[in-house]
Amino acid sequence: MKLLAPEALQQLPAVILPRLIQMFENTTPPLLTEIRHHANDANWHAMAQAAHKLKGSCMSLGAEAMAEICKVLQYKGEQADSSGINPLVDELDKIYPETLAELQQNYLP
Amino acid sequence: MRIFNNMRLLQILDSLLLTSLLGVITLLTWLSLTDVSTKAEHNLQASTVSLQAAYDAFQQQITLETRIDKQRQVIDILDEEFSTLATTLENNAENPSKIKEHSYLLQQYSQELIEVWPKNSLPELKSDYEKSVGMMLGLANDIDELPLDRRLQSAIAARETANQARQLMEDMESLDDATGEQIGLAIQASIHSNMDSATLMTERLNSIKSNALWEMLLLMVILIISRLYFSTRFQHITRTAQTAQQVAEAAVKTKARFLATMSHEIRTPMNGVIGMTRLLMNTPMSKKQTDFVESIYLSGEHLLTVINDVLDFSKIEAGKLDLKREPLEIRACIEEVLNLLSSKALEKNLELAYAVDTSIPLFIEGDTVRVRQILTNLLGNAIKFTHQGEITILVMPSYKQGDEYELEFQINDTGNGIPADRLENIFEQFSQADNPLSPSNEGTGLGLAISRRLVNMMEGEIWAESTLNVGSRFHFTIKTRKVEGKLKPFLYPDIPEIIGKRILIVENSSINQQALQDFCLSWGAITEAYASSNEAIARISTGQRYDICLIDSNLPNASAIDFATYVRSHYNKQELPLILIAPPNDPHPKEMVHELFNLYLTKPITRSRLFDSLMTVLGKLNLVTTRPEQFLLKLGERLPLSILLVEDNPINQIVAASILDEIGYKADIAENGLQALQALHKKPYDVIFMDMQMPEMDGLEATRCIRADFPTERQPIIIAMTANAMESDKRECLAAGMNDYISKPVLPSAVEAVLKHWCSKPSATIPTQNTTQEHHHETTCA
Repeated sequence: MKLLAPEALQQLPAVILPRLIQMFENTTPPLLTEIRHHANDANWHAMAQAAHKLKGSCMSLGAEAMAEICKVLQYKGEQADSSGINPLVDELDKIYPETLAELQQNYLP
Repeated sequence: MRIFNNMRLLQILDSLLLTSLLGVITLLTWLSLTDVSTKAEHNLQASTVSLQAAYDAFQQQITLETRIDKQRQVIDILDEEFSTLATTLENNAENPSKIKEHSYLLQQYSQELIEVWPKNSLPELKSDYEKSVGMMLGLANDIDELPLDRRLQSAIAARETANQARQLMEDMESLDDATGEQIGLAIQASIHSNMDSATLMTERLNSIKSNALWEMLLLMVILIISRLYFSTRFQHITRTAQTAQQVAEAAVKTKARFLATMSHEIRTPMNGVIGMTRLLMNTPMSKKQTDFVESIYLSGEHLLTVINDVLDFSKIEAGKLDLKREPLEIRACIEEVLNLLSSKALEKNLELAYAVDTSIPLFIEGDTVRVRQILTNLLGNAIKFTHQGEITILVMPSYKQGDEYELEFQINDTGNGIPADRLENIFEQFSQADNPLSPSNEGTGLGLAISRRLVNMMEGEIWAESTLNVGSRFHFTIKTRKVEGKLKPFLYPDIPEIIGKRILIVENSSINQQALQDFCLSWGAITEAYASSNEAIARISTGQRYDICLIDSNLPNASAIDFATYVRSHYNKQELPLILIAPPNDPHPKEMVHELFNLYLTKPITRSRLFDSLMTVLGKLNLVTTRPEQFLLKLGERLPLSILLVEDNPINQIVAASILDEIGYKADIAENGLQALQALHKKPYDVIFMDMQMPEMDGLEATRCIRADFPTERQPIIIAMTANAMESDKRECLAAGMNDYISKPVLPSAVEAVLKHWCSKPSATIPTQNTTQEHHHETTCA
């Protein structure tokens, strides 16, 4: 799956993109930590909320692949379904730097 | 007399009685008249025979008397001749010859007399007469041979014989007189007999007359009695039926009132149940518990739909539903329905399209909510029963006089069709109950029944036709008239930015092609439409210039891309903007689409979206071609609004706020529902964009509180921003009291469209809550 879907970003005012990417860079690592932490504690509800929050950011920036994983995590958290959580969180951790790099590369002046 | 409560039996008995009475009277009269005529004929025959006998006897008597007279004359002559002979005592030669001559006559006459002698009357008189004649003849024969001395003696004997003969003839005559008397008596008797017969006949006829009179009187009396009896029974039956009808009508009204009250009472706690279930779903639960709660939630939703249907139906039944007479924008109404149902159609890959005849005015008088309800029912059904193909809505005037219209709506689908025997009662309530075609028991089966009632209230008719395995067509008509309404921007004809623009339309669905042309023409554009990309390419290759191209993504052989590639090989995006008309799940690779096309126009095609798309591409053109700044006026400048953005995610806050900023709005921001309430207490807002999931208080609960806590004039338009594009989520938003929803990621076009849709009334007053949500506002804020 592609990391970024350009439609969403293309329709946003170009002037705010640097700020958005900056915020994404600042807010995502704490959220990733939070998700992993709640997953380890089996605190599914909290994990779902964190995943939901990250999903919102990702969707706004067109980070499709990350948004998709967050969606699954949120669903599983809401269902208290522990199966396959860890590989998903690992994948999220893995693709975050790639996504950020692609964003910075394409949309920063 | 329970048996006489049966109306048909009464009629049969009545007819039988009448017929049999008339039959008896006719039979009796006929028998009596037959008897009289037989007797009269008999009497006439007897009388004729008797008169004939009398006539014969009379004739015979006349003959007899004539012959007796002749005989008497001859005997007198013979007597005289014998006397002369005796007295002369001379041999006179003349005398004997005369005697002989007359004796010959005597013999002749006597034979004639004997011939007519009355039969069976006094035979001794006849023999005496024959003897006397024989003696006279003997004397006459012997007269020549007699000596003179004996002649005297002979003459004396002849006189005696003559006297004897005379005496006999007198006897005979007296006897004959007696016969005549008898004949007279016989005639008299015959006359008497005739008179008696006539008298008898008169008596019989009189008796028949009086009998008939009495029978008729009897018949009349029986008839009058039976009429009186039957009419009493009829009155009784009619009165019973009327009473029963009144009782039934009262019962129906009571039932409907009861249902209306109960449905209302049930809905309020049901909203609570659904809301709480929703909250429960957001708490940690086991898989099993989640399944159970999901079931509760779905059942609750279903129950609410059922109750709403029942409420509508019972309102109509109880006569409590009044139709509004407001300006109804029929095209917008259809577009709303299409928008509402497009996700369902998308799940099955069904095409939705509509066309409204251009002769139909923009605004007609009607009840928007109820027309939308009918269309939603019919279109929802069409989607439910159609598995592939397209569903179209057509509206045309079936009657027009001045400003008065009768509009006919057609909803066509390409579904399984409905068997003819089911078509008849498809509009009856609960007709879905035994419908084997129904894929599931969703809905109450009241949808079509409600639609029929509503259509009838709009002085129209609803009917359906269907061909199995081909599709169904539902029609309904409504009576309405042209009215003036407040126009939304895209409803104005002849938009200055669009006038004179040449628009090429490549669309193979004829109904969509028609709709695109109608819309573009109404804004003043010049259109050319082709059903295939080849035709369009051929046209462009001639050097024909266009300002905009609209291309359907579903052209055969995926030729939309071919067409776009061809166009791009000659013109860039500014020279000839291309707009791809595609369903939300368009299969074309997005990169390629973005490379070739300027814009997506999402199906179903609606005027507002088409208008926005055209304006967008023309607006971009304006930037390049330095047109006057007129169109660059931002929405926020044309339509100032105070907006509150409720969103907890900082990135999303910036995205939404900057999008609003782009179109000229400075939005206040609240982090969650509670902050939103506080902000709203401080100052009124026209519009709130509300995130769904937030800490402290989520969007749904915040909306319920706003709807419950603030007066009507402070009520904002609330638009949900939801990442969940599920139908149930959308319904939940509306149920909580929100006016509309947009999907995340939030896009500028969506924000602009939703603001235009809800706020573009010139007075800038905020519309009262969407009437579709009127059922859902009962929950109060805890």
